[in-house]
Order: sequence, then structure tokens, then C-alpha cells
Amino acid sequence: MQMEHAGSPRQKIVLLTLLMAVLMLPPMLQFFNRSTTFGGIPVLYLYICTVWVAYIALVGWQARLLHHEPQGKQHI
Amino acid sequence: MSPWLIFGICLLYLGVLFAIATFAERRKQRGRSITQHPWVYTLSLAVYCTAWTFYGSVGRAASSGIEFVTIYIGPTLMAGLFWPVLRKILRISRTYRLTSLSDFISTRYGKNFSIAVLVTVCSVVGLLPYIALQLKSIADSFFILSEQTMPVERGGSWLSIGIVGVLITFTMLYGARSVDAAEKHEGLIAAVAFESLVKLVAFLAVGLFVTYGLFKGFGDIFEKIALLPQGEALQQLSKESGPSGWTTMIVLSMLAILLLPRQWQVGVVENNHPAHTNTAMWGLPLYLFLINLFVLPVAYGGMLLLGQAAIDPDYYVLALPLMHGKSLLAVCTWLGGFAAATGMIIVETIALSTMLSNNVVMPLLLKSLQWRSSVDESFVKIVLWVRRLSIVLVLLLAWLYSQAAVAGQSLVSIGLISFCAVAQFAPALLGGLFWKQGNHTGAIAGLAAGFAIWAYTLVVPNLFPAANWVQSGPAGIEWLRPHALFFSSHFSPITLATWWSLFINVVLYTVVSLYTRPSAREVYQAELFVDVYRLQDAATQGTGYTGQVSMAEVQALMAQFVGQDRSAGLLSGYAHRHQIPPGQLRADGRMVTFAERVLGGVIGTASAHIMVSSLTKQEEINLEEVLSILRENQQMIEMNKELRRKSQELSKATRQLQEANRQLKEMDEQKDEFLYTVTHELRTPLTSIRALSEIVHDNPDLENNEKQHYLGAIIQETERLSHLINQVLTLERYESGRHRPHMAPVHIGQIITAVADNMRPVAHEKGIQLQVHTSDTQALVQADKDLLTQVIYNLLGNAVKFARHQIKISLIDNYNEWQIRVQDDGKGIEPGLEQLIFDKFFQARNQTLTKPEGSGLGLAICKKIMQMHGGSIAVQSTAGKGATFVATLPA
Repeated sequence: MQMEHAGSPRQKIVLLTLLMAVLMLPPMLQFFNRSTTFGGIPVLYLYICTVWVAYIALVGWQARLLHHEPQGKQHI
Repeated sequence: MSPWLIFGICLLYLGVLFAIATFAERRKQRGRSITQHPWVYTLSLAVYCTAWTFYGSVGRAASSGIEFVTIYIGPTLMAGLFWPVLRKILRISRTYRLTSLSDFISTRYGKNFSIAVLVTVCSVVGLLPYIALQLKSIADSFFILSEQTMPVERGGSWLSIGIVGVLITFTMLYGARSVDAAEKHEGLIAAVAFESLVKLVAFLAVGLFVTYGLFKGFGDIFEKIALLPQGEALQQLSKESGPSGWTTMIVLSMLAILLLPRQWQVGVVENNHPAHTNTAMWGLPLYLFLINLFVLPVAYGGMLLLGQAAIDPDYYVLALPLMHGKSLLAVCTWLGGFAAATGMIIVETIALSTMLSNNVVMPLLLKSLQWRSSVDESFVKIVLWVRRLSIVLVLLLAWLYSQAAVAGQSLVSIGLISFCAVAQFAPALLGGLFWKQGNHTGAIAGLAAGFAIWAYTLVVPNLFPAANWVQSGPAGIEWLRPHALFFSSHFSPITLATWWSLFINVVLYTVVSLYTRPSAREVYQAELFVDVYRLQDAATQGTGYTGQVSMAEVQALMAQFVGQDRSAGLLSGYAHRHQIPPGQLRADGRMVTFAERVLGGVIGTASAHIMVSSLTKQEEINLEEVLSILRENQQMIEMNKELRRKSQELSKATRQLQEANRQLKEMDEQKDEFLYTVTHELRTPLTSIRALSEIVHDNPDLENNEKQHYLGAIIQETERLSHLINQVLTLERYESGRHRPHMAPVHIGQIITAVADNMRPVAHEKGIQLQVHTSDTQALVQADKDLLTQVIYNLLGNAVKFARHQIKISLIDNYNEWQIRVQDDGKGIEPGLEQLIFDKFFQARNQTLTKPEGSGLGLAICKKIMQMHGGSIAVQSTAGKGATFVATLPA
């Protein structure tokens, strides 16, 4: 199995996913689990939407780079 | 709205679906496929969003707020792991032509028949309620749209059986066209992608209508709902299921996006190109985000406007436009929900029917028919009909279930039960992908136990809610009650079922795998799966095949299951691609493995394997041998790597040696040069001593004062000589490292003052003024006092030699270092020589320069001493205007 050079898009996506998982689990959510609102919208809802959109954008950005990776060597 | 009108619209929509599917199939036949696009793949993955998403999320949100998003966050996370997980599954499935999840798991565990049956049965049992739920949602929404308050039971039945009929037709036409289940169903995928688009647009439309038509945007709805008694609770995490429920649903949905049979079908079997997953990685999360964006506003809007009416919150999506007379929007919304339900039903049915026919019915049929190796074309038809009947069977069972059991349950709870069922495949599948030791005994044990716990905790209580042993535990044992298994009564049923079933599943899978021995075939398959990227070539080479079978027999066997023409086409195509010479009588090993893979797509890998090995009259291809070949291969690679590493080390060592050699030569040359210069320098005073002595010797009649003069000169030259020898010895001592400086705190300012006082008379003699500036005479520096004194003597001595009128010596505190600056107003140093003057015998070697004075070693010694103190020495000079020597000491 071939080693990848550090910081390839694949590894960054996996890292982003781990981060997203941590941000979406109850220990993180409890910081926003309050009745405060921002522009009428509860902060919990805003938080989840923001993190989600940011994650999609970042993965999308990294996934575009995947197309430019050499296709011949598809080792994990 | 008239039921007939709605039914008409429904038929019209199905007509469009048929048209799209037909169009896609036609394009494919002409070789201009429309489904080979990453976005079509992404949209087809969105078959994940069923009627549950479309109606059920809103119902869930109305009761427990934002918790519904967990079901979409899980898939978002799994999408991020597509590369390590899905890409590997894709590679394996494509290489070995695997057609379903059960095929995949059974092949991994040694083409085991019983595990294939187990997975199939679990899938069917686990998913029937889920399909039934979709049928129910179609009927319910139909009656809400036609405003016939709560359908008469019979009315619901005829409607849903009608729709089931249409769906059976569609699925048979586009899902069971070919006997080869590994073949892509392009028409079907085009239709499913279209349906994904319809449901997204419909939900966004109704979401915009509610949020901005009925209310004044997000903030307005959230502010109004906060005023309701339950409003405060809805804006926060649900207390009911708590953090454990939240986490459980994320885990379940993460596994579901991979393991639900319909997801496997669209994500793995129908995948056209592995690179399409790159787009799906973020495209699928984006889809899920968009379709969920308006769930909360619609749910809360429904609560605010319809809270009093007796409407199931699951159907707020439909009821809101209806109540406000927007019939067109209502119909669109209904079509969206219909699309969500039908898409799911069709794909799920195909996946389940493939499993049923390939892994259960066909193997049993083959056994009971006493299969003979005679060419019989009718077998193709049998295969097709088995597939079609499986479709009918699955849909009819689901319909029966929907009529009997689903009534009264919310959409979400049934969906979660199915999620939990398929989650049981996770240990066997993921373990099989990455862990070679996992074996079929462990997989069966884990799967069976996990599934049993699933059934006991989630299905049994629903079937017999009032039974005594459900309420108080079997034989009165409290901790065995289904909803409080192992004392976990404070968790919700789903959480409890998920964690206990998965926990026991994983434990049994790993422990049993570690303590049982797999067969050779299993070890072989484990190698092929876990190391697929490395071994895929070896695996398709038919390595280790030793059987004797004729080409005609192989072709005849294939013809029975895929048809005469197709089998001939496939075989010759394969032979052409792999450059196997045609016209051979005996089948090549690669041909036999290829034939087995094709048959696997028709009758499942387990039975295909039995068929082929019965044909080759070889019970087992010699797997021990194959394994050893694979391992030898591995060892060769390792050895190669080792060799390459060693040779790199060797060439590095050679380079280092060459470098050392070069340095040695250089040093040798320097030594020669030094010796030459030293002898040369020694000869000069010797020559004059000799000349002067000869004068005194040869002229005895010299006058006394004249004799005195010559003898004085001889003494001077002798002093010069011994001075030179002393300098050489000193420098040699420093350079060889034999002289270690005795470091101690010294008052650097005092040294300067003392040396300057000593030198002042000499300077005065030549009419030179000597100024001393020591800003802080108390400055303490770690240094060797004698050595430092010598440096200052040398520098001042030099200055006295070259200065015209004035010498300035100063001590400067330059942050973290001390600078001793000696400035003269002499002729200065020619540009370009600033570095060279610190070399040994620089003066001597440059006789063109004006008048050498001194030994030529003074500055070299200074430099050496400063280096010994960790400092440095340099000179700044402008030719004709004097020079400044700067000796630097670290503070």
C-alpha cells in the first residue's frame, strides 16, 4: 500500500468529516442549546445550518482537487 | 379536488416516468448514455430521501424540533468517507461483478451460501415495513389531497393495489430486463434521478410558499412559535431522546446511506464511474441540506395555522397549500411526495428481488432441479421469471404489511426500525473490507445475534404490544423486557435496540473470528477484498486453476443462464481483451474465472461457484497454492523495497566518503602550503642573522660601536625568529584544540584600559594619540583573560603600525554581544581583501602588497581566539581612510 504525501485532498476531506462529526455531537451542541435568538432565529438552528453549509463548501472545494489527482494509482 | 382528477394526474406522472426511462434506455442502446454524469449519480443517491423525508420530517419536527436533521447529518458524514469506504467497495464490486449487498458479504466470506441467505432474509424482513410505509404515505396523501376525510379502508386498498400494479410493471420493465444483474439499469436510474429532482423542487416550492407567503420569513415563524406553550422546548434539543438519541440517529443514518439495499443498488451496482463519487461527496450533502432547509418553517407554520385541526403533522406539507386554496401547489407537493415514495419503492424492490432471486431462489431451484450439464436455453427464461416473481413477491408482501400493521405509526419510527435492521450488516461488511481475520463464523454469529436483538426489542413489542411477557418480561424477569433490555429502561427503544444489537454484533463478530479457523477459500477471498487495489489483477488471472475443462463446456454452461448469443459475445470479448488465443480446446484459467463471475451476476456467487467447480470436476482449486503465490508476490515486493532502500543508503555513504576525501585533500594542501610559508618566513631572519654574523666574524678589526650595532641587529632578528616560532606554536596549539580556554568572568573594560596603558608609550613614540572609550568598565564577560588580552595587544599593535595620528579603541554593548572596536587612520585595507587578511601568512603570500610587518600570524591568532570564545572578528575599511577592526564576544 502506497503512502500518500501529507495533506492530500482525500486526507483533508476525512479530517473535515471528523471535525464535522465533533461539531455535530451533543457536547458541542450544548453551547448553542439555549433560547437565545438571532434575528428571530434560534441560535441552535443557525449554528447547525452554518456548520453544514461550511462543511459542504469546504468538501466541495477539496473534492474538485481530487479530479486532478493521478487516476492511475487509486491506492488508499 | 376530485379523486379521479388526482388519479389522472398520477397516471400522467407515471407516464412521464416511463417515457424518461424508455428514452434513457434508447440513448444507451445508441451508445449515447444520459446517465453517465456525476450529477445523475448524485441525484440517484438522493433516493435516500423518501416519503419519510418529504412528510415525516415535518411531523417529527412538529413534535421534537430540530432533531430530524440527525437523519441527514449521518449521510453527510458518510459522504465525507466515500473515498476510503465506498471507493473500495466499488472497486471490489466491479472487479468481481457483485450485484448486491448479500452477494458482497457472501463472497467476502468464502462465497458462503448460508450467509447470503441470512443477509437476504434480514434485508427483506427489515425493509418490508419501510416499503409498506411508502405505500401507506401514497394512499394517505391521496386522500388528504382529495379532501375525503379519512379514507374508507376499502377505498385505500383499491388505490394502493392499483399503484402497486403500476409499480410492479415499471420495476419489471426497467429493473429486470436482463438476466445479468450486474448490468446497469440506465432507464431506471434516469427515472430515479428525475424523481429526486421533482421532490426537491416540490419541497422547496412549498417551503418558500409557507415561509414567505403565509409568514414574513424565517424569523417571523420562529418568533411566533416561541410564544406557544411548547415553543421554548421546540427551539432546543429534545429532552425526550436526549444526547444518546441524537448520537444514535447520526450513527444509524451514517450506516444506512451505505447499507440500505436501495442505496447499495444506486451507489454501488449502478455506478458508472468511480470518479462520480467525487461529486457525490459534496453534492449529496448539498441536496440533503436543501431539502431540509424548510422543514422547520413548514412544521411550525403548520402548528400555528393548523394546530387546532385534526391533521396528522406528517401531512402539514400538503394541508398548508390546500387550506389556502393553492390547488396547483398542493398537486405539485403531492407529486413530490409521490416521487419520493415511488423512487424508493422501485429501487428497494429491485435490490431486494435481486438478492432473493440470486441468493435464495435460484440456488434452491438449481439444487432441486438436479441441474445437468446439458444445453437448455429455457433456463434464461426461468432466471428472468424468478427475478420478476421476486419483484411481485416483495411488493405484494409490502402491500399486505401496509394493510395490516402500519396503521397508527408515524413515518419516522418505522423508518428508524429499518435503519437499525440494516445497521446489523455494518460489522461484517466494514470488518470484511479492512480486517483479514474476520471470518464467516464470526460474521454469521454477529449478524444473527444482532438481528435477533433487533427483532426482540423493536419488532416484537409492536406486534404484541399488550402481551404479558412484553410488559413484565419473559418469566417475569424485569431486565429482559424488550423496552428495558439489560436495565436500560431510561433510553428510547431505538437507542436501546441500536446500541445493544450493534454492541453484541461487533463483539461476537470479532471474538468468534479470532477463535475460529477460516477455510482456505475464505482466507483467499479476504486477501482479495482487503488488498483489492494490489491484487485485482492476480485475482482475475485464474491463478492456481488446475482443472481440465473444454471451452465448449464453459460456453454451454454460460449459455444456459445468459443465452447462446450473449455468452458467445461475452467470452470472445473477454478473450480479445486479455489476448487469449482463440480456438483453444481447453479453457484457459482466466476464462473459467470470468465465466464464474458472469454466472455470479445471474445466480449469485455462491451457486455460480458450485456450478463452475462441478463442471471443472475439481472440488477446490488449489487455494493453498494460490495463497502462497499471493504471499510470495508480497514478499518479492517487500524484498524489492528493501533492496532499493539499501542501495540508496549505499550511494549516500559513497557521497559522504567522497566529500570527506575532498576535505582531507584540501587540508593536506593547506598543510603543505603552511609548511612552505613557515620555512620561508624562518629563512628570512636566519639569512640576515647569518649575514650579520659573517660580517662580525670576517672583520675582526671592526670598530667597537659598529660591532655593537651589528650584534644588536642579530639579537633583534633572533627575537623576531623566536617570536615567529612562538606564534606558530601558539596557533598550532589553538587549532589542534590542545589549548582549552579557561573561561571565567572577566572585566573586559579593565583589560582594554590596562593594555592601552601599556601600549600608550609605544604609540607616543611614533606621535600617535591613543583614545580609550569603555562605556561600562564593569561589564563582565565569560572569557579567558590571557587570550583576550592577547587579542587586544595584537589589534592595538597592528593599529600602531599603520596609524598616522590617532587610534581609537572602544567597547560597545550591542544588545546581546560585546564589540571591541579598534579604529586607526592609516592607509586602510584594499577592497576585496577584508576576509583574506585573517588568513595565515597573508602578508607573506602577497609580496606585492606594501611592506610586510610582523609574523603574519597575529590576525589569524586573533580570529582563532575569538572563535574559541564563540565570537568573531571582522574588519571595516575604506581604502586610504583607515580601518576598524571589530572583535565580537557573545554577552
